Amino acid sequence: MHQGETLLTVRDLRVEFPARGGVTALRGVSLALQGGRTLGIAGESGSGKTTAGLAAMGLLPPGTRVTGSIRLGERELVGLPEKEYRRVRGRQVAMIFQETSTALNPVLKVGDQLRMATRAHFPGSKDDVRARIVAALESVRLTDHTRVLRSYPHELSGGMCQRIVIAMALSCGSRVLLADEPTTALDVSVQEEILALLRTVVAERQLALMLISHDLAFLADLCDDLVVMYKGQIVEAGSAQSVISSPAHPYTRALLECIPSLHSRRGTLPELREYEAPSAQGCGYRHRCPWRADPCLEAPALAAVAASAERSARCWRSAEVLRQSVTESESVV
Amino acid sequence: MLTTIAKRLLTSVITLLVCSVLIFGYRYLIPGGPAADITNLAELGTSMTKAQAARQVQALSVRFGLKKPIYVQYWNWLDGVFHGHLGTSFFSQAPVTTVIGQRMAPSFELIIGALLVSLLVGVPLGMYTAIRRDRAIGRTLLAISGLQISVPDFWLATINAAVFGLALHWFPAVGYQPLSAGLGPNLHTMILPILTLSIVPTAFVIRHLNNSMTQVLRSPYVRTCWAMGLPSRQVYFNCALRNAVGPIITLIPLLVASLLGGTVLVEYIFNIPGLGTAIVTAVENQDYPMTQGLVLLAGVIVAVFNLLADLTISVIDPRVRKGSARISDVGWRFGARRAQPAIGLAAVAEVREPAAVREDVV
Amino acid sequence: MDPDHGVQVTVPEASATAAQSRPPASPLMSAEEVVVDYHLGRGRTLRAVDHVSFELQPGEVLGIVGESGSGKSTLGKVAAGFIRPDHGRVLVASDGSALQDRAQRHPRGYRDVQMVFQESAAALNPRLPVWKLIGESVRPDRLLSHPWGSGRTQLRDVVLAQLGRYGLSRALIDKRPAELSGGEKQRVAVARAMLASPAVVVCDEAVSSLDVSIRAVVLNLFKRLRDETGVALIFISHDIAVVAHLADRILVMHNGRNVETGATAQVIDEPKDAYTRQLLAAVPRLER
Repeated sequence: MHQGETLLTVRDLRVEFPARGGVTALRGVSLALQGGRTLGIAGESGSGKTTAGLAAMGLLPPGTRVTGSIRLGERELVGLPEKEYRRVRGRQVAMIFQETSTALNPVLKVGDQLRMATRAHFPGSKDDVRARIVAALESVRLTDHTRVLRSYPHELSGGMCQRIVIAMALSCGSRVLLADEPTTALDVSVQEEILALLRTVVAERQLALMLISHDLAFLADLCDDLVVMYKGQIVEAGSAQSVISSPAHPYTRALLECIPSLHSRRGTLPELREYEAPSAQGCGYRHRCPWRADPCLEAPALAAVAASAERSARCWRSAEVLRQSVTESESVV
Repeated sequence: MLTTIAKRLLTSVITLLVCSVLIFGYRYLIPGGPAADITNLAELGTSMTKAQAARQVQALSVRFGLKKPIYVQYWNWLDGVFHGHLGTSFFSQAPVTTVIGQRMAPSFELIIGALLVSLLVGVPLGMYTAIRRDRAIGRTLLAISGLQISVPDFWLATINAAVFGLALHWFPAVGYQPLSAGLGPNLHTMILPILTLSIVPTAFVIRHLNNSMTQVLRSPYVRTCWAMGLPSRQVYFNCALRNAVGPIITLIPLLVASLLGGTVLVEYIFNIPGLGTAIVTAVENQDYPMTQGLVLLAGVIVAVFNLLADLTISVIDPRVRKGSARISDVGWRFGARRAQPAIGLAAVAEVREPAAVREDVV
Repeated sequence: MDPDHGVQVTVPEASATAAQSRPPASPLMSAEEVVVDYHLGRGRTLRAVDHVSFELQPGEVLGIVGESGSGKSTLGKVAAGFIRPDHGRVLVASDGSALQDRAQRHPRGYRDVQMVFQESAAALNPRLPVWKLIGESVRPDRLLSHPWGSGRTQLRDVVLAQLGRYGLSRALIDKRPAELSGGEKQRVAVARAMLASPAVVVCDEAVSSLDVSIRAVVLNLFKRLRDETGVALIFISHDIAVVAHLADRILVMHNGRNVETGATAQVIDEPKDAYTRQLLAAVPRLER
């Protein structure tokens, strides 16, 4: 386990959308991204995972209240004026999204788009810019540069378009890459390719990758560290392998259980109870939690689990949950 | 690319031919038929007996070829059109083409001027209202354009002529100075009519562009531009506008068509000797060759603008150019086995692809 | 779940009785050598479905799995009657009758096969409240004497009674699609399909855009409906794990062709075709 330099640190990030009747999307999220490592953010819709990514990029809609700290190297991003943020985006931190072919401008050639993005941060000579672009295309294993640069997005497959967007981020020089469901719209086989590609690129360029997804299996494959989010809070964090093999939070357990597995085909999938709006006090998950007990009327903090510095969970009974998960995984093996 | 141009030209030609049939044919729909105007002519200020009048009508009918079968008359007329003869005005006895030639300049100046003003003012304002749609200023401007659209030309022209012309003496209320008299005097007489005529088209452009720009600004590719840190000018102009401008280009021929109608009223109020007043006079005097010629000219103008707009779109939007490489499933139940995308339909479907939908519909 | 489970249903359930009255092992739906071509203009044709045949037994769940471009969605639409195949045909037997070409049994022939789509937001009329959306498929002349007034109340009550069965709260009866969550919308779509008393429901990526936890709810719903009403399902998805969970038999499609068909256990554990093996290998595995 190699400790790269910490490139992005988020501390107690809170995001509120006052427009929609005061919806709190994020309630105190803290995490760190290190070069050469991948952090996975798992969660369903409404968990705030996408909001966290957009907050780091400064792409939240105007009028959103953001408090807390997002540090990129020496620079504090929360409250950064738009003009300066533009120099940060793409150059220091870049984000790619779920849409693949629609992520590129349909009326411009791919080459023109790459050029525009690169020149915004590296206004050099034509040759310099082209060299950067070609290097980026090589990194994403698109070897037929001339053809790709001359094509329009609608002539290319979804997988290729996603590679081009990644290349764009690399060409702009960013070392922190946020990816929001980058492969959800792609076929399984293409998904594998992009996964392998991301792994290589992260290693080669020592990028810090934040992978946001609802697909725990996908995250398990690629990520070093994993964070599970529920309704705007982190409920569990730790190394990807340990969180998935032995979860310490009831929600993580429930998520893992209700995914249909290929080889152990059960009759009925366990279901979470219907969602109810979380009350102000107490643990936000308790209404649906089979481990619910009296202490849960008070909201738990994100605390270390079982004296392990590497893992934390937001549950009073996390030690028990962990024990149970360990027992189950051992019995399977 | 050439096939697209050729196909489009063919469509225009066919449209114009159909148009010409209708223009030629309407004459036969009026009570009394085409001989009615001749009857009037014959009775103009003469004290003939009924019998003499009837013989006069007969003679004139033969002279104007009205006794021949209709398709022969049509063919003769069409043949004349291709040779540049649009007939002779019943009223002034001058060839229609001459009259058109004399009166063309002020009308074209009005139409082109109004079109340019509507684009030069409308496009920036349309963009601005879309970019600042969440601020009060953007919403106010959009609301104003809504009122602007409903303003009647006739009323506005009269008000402007009265206020700026007669009351404030900024511009002449009536009259026209041709370009030959100098650009200054020409503009002095034309500014008020051009501005009057451009009010409604400008509102159309603003609203259309606001609509398509808002949609484009929400699209995934614009988000990519922001995420890659492009400066806002580049995002708005290079990235967004190129996509948003398509509907405006298809709007232009429609604007031209409505401007042709608006010209008639504006020229009448400001007393400009253009094609608009010509057509009013022609209709008043039942001068059919004149009317026919002018309506045909209007048809040609609109057809030409339509053709140019379609060709411009295929230059700007590469998806329309090559048909679509990807297929949208538009084959519905009732016999539509061929899922052949209409030009641009597949392109529109690509742009609006919802985020969660997988790429295949096959 | 909502306690409205055991409410007496007034909507006739032809599918259940039909399944009982038909002799076993005679198929409910039979597709024979279906071919669908998309004409791309300038003489180019894309063969989306290439001579695919399958049989669907009553009460069976047939899973169709494949990647994008495999033709599975097109095949689903052919089964549902939205697309007429260029060659081949689809025969449907319901109400206890023998297999017949759907067109000959119009309009019943079309109602017997219902469809649930991936994007419920696009499939539900945004202006209608839930009771009208679901009530769309209940034939008024079967229930009501007058389409207005008392008839409408009756329709609303029928739908209200049915909501619990689909895990929908009674409070949603008057809400519009915009006020519903993704899972709720999808369940409304399923209710709408089921209330037409179909013999077959074609589900095209019905759970793909749902959250994992909601996906479980909807999958369980499908299972329950199949067990209770005996409706047959054609479940189309790119996610082989989801298909394997629900289906009795699996049909694997690749480039429009049917590359493998068989019982679920067989296809998953002992795949015969190379492409199937490739597909299975590409599924990310959770190590637990």
